[in-house]
Amino acid sequence: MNKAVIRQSVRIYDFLLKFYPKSYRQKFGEEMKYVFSESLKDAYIKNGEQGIFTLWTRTIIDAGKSLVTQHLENQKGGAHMKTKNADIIMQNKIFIWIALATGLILLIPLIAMQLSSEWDWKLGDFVVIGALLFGMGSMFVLTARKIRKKSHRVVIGITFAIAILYLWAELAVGIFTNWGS
Amino acid sequence: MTVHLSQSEFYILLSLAIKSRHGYEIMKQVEQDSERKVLLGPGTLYGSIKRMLQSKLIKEIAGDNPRRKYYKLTEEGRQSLSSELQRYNDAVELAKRKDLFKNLGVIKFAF
Repeated sequence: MNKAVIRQSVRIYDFLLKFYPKSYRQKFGEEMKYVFSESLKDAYIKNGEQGIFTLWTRTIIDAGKSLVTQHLENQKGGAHMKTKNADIIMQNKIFIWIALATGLILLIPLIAMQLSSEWDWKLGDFVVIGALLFGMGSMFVLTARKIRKKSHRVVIGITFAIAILYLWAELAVGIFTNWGS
Repeated sequence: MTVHLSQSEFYILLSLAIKSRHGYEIMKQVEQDSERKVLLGPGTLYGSIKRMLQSKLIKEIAGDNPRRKYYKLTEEGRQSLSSELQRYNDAVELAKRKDLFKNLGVIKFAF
């Protein structure tokens, strides 16, 4: 189970790296993955699953901040400087908001676990739901960037929200599948 | 010419002052040198490395594994680190002369 969590964590981090600018990813992606996987092993040896959970919390915040920084630096380094864009969807800092929102949502079960024994989330649950929220949020942003009309974006947003709720429910209690078992 | 260093960059340069290191080693050394006050994630670490490579404060050197590239201080990096340390030292000396450590209640340095 623990080896599976480590393997899964590296896979999720590898996926997260795809959101960095291509040139940055090509230059540092492999090294970043190596550093993350070594940190995972270290965190697990020192503090077990709790260590992995703490590392993931720090990594999500770190990735949120550095994603925005690298995209901004990438834009500045481009041949054409762009005027400031008022559309939040087009700004890379939206990824920080998605990461923060993900963290805040995950705080709910974390706090609930301290208060009630009916909540029994394992580290893997936090990782999967965190990845689901951050991944779907980021996918929505990348999709919405290709759509200019606001009403269409709202429809896409609702579709993504329903997809998140459905997947969450499916993982929690299993509606049509036994993924959550 | 000296380059303004962020806190992460300062600690990274400090970790490279003794010897060349690869990314994970730099991260662990920074954690140790800062007494866990500066915890670098891979994003912040390589963002800083990228900026310092561009400013020519550090350079990449051949390593044993493509996933473990080694980084080394350049002469510019050594000068920047030295100026930054001098600046900190001057500030500490000034604070001592004015007895600020005691007045501000910085116990760790006061005794």
